Amino acid sequence: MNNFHMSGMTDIVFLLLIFFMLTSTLIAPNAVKLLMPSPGRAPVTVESRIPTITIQSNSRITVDGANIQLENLGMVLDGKLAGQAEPTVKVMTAPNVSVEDAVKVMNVAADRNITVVIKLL
Amino acid sequence: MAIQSRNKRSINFAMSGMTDIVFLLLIFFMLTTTLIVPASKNVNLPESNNQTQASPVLVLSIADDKTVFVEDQEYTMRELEAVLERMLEPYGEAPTIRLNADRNLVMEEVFAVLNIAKKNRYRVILGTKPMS
Repeated sequence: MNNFHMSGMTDIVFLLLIFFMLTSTLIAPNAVKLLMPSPGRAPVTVESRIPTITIQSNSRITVDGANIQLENLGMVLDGKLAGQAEPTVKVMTAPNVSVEDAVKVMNVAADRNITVVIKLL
Repeated sequence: MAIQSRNKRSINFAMSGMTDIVFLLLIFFMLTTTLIVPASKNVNLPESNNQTQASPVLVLSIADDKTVFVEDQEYTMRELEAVLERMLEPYGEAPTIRLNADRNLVMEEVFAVLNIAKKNRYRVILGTKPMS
């Protein structure tokens, strides 16, 4: 019996391969892009059509001045941005808004492939 | 009965070629997984299912108590700009930073980093974890 038995090793190598394949695809970079307004890039006439979402210090959300619940935000954005080729919203946050609240709003926009530009109130 | 088939085929399964390929794949996946940077500090990230294609060159973490870490080294907010400039110099124009901000942190701190980034033309992505 001087045969080299490879099958056991191959089993282990296969298991390792499956493990590494799964972990490498599961750890995709989960992140939100943070864009800040750059002066002079967009003309004022275009800017005026961009809806502004404001998150106030008491976590109240307004869109162009109207109070809105987070659950309805998606619907409102869909209505305001219907038919635009490059939908963009401006998110203005008060300084003491938590990161969690801001990300919740950005999620709504990002789920709809809307570009978010953030700014401090 | 001397009738025998002339074309006898080997019934052995030649596994070695496949094993070679599996090994190569294994090595590839082992190397790529170690390249992914884990969340360096114990920061409670906000939840989001969005994924970005941008590959950050540096991880900047701000913990709940406003302590700032670049990779694993603690810095103050004042030192941060100089530190970032020094560390991001080799990466050329507009490198991407991953900002791991604690979910309970206020946006003021995030904007402090964003202002530095804007001034030096860094791109910033906000680190999140998948929704549970």
